[in-house]
Amino acid sequence: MNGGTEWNGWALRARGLFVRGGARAVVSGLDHDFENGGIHWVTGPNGAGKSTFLRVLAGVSSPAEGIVAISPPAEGSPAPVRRYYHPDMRLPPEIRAWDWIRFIAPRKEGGGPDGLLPPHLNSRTRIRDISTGEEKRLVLWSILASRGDILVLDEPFEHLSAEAKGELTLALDGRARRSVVVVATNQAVPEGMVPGSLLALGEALTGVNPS
Amino acid sequence: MSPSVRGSCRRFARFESGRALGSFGWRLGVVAFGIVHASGTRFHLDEDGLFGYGILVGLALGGGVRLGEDRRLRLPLLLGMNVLNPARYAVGKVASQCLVMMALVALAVLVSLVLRPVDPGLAAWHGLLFAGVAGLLAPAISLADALLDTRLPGLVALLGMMGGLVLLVGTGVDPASVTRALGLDAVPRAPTTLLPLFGRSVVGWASSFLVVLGAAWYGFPRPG
Repeated sequence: MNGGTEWNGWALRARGLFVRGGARAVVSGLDHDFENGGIHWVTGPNGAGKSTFLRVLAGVSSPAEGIVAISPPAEGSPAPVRRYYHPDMRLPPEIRAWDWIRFIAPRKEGGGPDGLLPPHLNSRTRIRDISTGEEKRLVLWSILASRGDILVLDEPFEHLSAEAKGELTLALDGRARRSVVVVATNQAVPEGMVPGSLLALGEALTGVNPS
Repeated sequence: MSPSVRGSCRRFARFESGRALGSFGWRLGVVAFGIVHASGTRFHLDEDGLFGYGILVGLALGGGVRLGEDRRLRLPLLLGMNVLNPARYAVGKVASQCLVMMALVALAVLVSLVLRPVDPGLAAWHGLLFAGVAGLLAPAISLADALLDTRLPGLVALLGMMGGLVLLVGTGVDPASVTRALGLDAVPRAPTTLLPLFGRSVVGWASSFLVVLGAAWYGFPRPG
């Protein structure tokens, strides 16, 4: 399933994927295509192996068996740019938030989805002075600030306010039109959103057919 | 080096320098230098009011590259997957280490000029000497930062280097030959005698780069 949009961009293609999380299989023999057109949601309770699965999709770790191949939109396409978010990513507490923003996007105010930037940041605000949710917004903003053909985000909605969740959903929905966006969450998929696909881990996920 | 590569290295170096100047290690380094040199001047200890010892401690405390903190924050994962590759990370880190240590030397010379009626020529010569010494300390600090999880890797490095020197001398090596080997046998007010030290300093900075690059190569994700 692909949200009814014809595929014309990058794609991640999992074939015969076997991912192990500790002693048990997180996915076993999975065949699945992640294409642009809609956000691909990976859901499941804590401990279902979502993070392990996403690390494999992002290329940070290797599967026990099978492959995750990247298909370019056309022959001669530039090398794909992968982006990855993990909820444990933090920023140095002693730096000023605007120093980080200027490092990521020096030429303009923002460069990314500026609605995601925490409000009320001033030139003296240090990371240690903002909340965990605001720090996560900054990290997510920096990941979305530049080109990314394949975005793999592990629990990006954790610790975010309702307003920030809305901004992030909007930003990801926009990016999913031209990039592959895979999001793992243990929360409900936002209402009214047509997913690119929905994989529920922890429910004997095997042999899902390619779209 | 292409303009975009140069630009991202420069941006990261600027970011890291700002981070270093706000760090606990830098503040402690400045305070430690101030205390050592002020006490040395006040109590007329040593010929230069313990300027040399003060700056050594200051450089060691303030010269860290924060590799351990980066690991704790999962910064290699964030930067490696989304912002920088290991080589640019290492260039930015070592460039900022160099800038911050030179800033500390400059600050120390200024403080010394304020504290004592010193000949400016001699002060400048001392500044150059310790700018060279910074390059000898840098790889040891980076190595301690890469291997240990401590907020003060420079202190560990300094103690390790002093322990190594004591061991060498204890095994019968002539202290003068150690001084000569490190390029520290320079003659006051004779800048050309600093050249051997500067040569070793360049090797030191290159080694620091290799240490940080190795740590980044090991710690950064490599998307397959």
